[in-house]
Amino acid sequence: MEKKVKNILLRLNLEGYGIVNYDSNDQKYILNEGKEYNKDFRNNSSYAKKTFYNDENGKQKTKIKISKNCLKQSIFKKDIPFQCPNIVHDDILLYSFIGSPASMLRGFLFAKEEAFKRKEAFSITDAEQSCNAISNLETFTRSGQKNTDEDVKDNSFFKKETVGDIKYSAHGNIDLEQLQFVSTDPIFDRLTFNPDKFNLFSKFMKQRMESFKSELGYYKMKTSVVEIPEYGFKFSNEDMLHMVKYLFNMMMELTINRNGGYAVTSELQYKLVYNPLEDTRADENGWVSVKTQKDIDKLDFSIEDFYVVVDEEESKKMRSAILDNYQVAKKKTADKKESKKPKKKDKEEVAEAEATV
Amino acid sequence: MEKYLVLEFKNAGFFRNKMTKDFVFDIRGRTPRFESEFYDEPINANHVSNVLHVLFGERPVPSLRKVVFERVDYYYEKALDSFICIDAYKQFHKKKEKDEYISETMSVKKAVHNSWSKLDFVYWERVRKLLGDELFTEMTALLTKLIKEKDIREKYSFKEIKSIVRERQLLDNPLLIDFFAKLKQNGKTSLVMYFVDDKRAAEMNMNSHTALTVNNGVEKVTRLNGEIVIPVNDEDILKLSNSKGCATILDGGLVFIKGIFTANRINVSKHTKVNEIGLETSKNKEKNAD
Repeated sequence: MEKKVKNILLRLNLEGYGIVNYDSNDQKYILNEGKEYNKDFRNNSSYAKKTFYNDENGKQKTKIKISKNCLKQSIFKKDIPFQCPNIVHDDILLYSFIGSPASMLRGFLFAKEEAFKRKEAFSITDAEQSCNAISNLETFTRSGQKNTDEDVKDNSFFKKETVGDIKYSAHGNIDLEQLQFVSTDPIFDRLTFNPDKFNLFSKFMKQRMESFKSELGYYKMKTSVVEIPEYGFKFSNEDMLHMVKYLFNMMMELTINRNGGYAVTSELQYKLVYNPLEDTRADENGWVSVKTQKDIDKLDFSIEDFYVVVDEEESKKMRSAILDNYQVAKKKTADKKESKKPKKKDKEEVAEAEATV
Repeated sequence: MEKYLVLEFKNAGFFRNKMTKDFVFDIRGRTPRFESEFYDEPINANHVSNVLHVLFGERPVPSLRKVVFERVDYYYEKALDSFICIDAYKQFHKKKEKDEYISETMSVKKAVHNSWSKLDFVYWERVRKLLGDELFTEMTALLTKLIKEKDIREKYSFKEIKSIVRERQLLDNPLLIDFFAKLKQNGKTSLVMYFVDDKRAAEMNMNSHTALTVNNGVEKVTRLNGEIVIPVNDEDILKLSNSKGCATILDGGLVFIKGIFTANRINVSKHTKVNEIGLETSKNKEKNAD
């Protein structure tokens, strides 16, 4: 029997120079408790994002890091340079965003009358410092006019944490079950988009992924005891491979540039998980290094089918009671909200009464 | 000998600030976050139970939001029998007089569509979008007539037009007053307010044609790492070996399987039994106090 991949584990190593991800100034309250050399009470100091630990002697120890949000923003910046909730007001813009491999992997939340959400299929941890580089609070000056008011203190000095050559490492995974299915069902708390707009979604998806041919239908999770079928569609093995390759390409091209610092991918490793109890993250066997485009192009494997199709009529029968209750619950909430709002007529009456008084 | 499934979790994001203007969405619609309940402890039996649901091939079941399906009690019971150790840096909080997890600052995207921007950035194209072609042509013709200059769209930005209208006291001009009344009748009051009232100058951002919202903000997030130890039997192990083997916890926290270990290889001296972790929510506390 052919072995099928259930999950993909990832290891990402980065190298660079200087700090690329800063935290807020509130970090001074945490730092002041421990390390002496980065101690500063002023408000005009910038600190690198860090992970804090206690060493064996109970002393504070820190490691510089790049947050997962910063990593994700940089990985997908080619396709999603920024996220703007204003696109919910225009269907073309919204479905152009949703109908892309980047959105399917990264996840999103758009809330208007209904909330469209998709959980991330690609997860990654913060990239934590993996070398012995030591950071330092350096003093800088800024140009520009100083405040001439004698009562207001002002100076052109500020402090910023700096570091030289630095290496980071992060771990991640691609949840193939999450990636495989797109729910367009409001009752399962993961409505990705309105099923009536499937053609629009499909149009954009085909532009970015030619192999996309999926159709809407009723599916149920193979391993679940919940028998209720869910309305949505399933990506084919070819589509999933395309998205995995796309992600690997993006990760290989990852660069984070900032004034005075940069970080780039130095190594990407992946591990195909066939048996989650044997193919663990800590086990060094099975890790494959991606070095060139060829390594990505030759990727080919079969992915586990996590969802099975259910007959449409049978599904509708099973779901009828739930859908009825769902409509009742929705109506109740709407009525409740309506009753909370003061009616226009009431407002006018109150205004009239006030005027009379 | 008893067997245990050992999981490690990394980067689980826990948001303490529940008094935001954000919303919680579920099948009932949306509820303001400050009106909804939230747990006092960052990770409790419900979270561990959901991790187990996902690892064993079930859907996670939110405990504070409503969904149509119920949790599998077997996994919830298993979660109660588990042990958890949160390995994150704590700092003494002087006001609360207890140790608290430290947090970092992160920028968040505002997903809710009605967090209206306060920016009154108006340009000709936006005005055209707001008014529609007919009213827009009428307005440019009127302003050309009042300002007595041709090609006003080429010469002036819309912001400059506002200053000119005010400087030359054209707001008292009967023609403009009539046109503003017409705009109000057509539901375009926001443009009138842009000229008349500085406090309401950004009202155009609330119109569906020219909607503009604040798209990001700042939040404090606590990142937690740790370990969960769960007792398992042979049937569970068989099911786990056929599952996907990954899950998430809290906001974007990754759960990895370390392996199956026998009791003599497990040290839970630093761990807490999950059933000893309180399930109190803030609303419950308020009710008890009442």
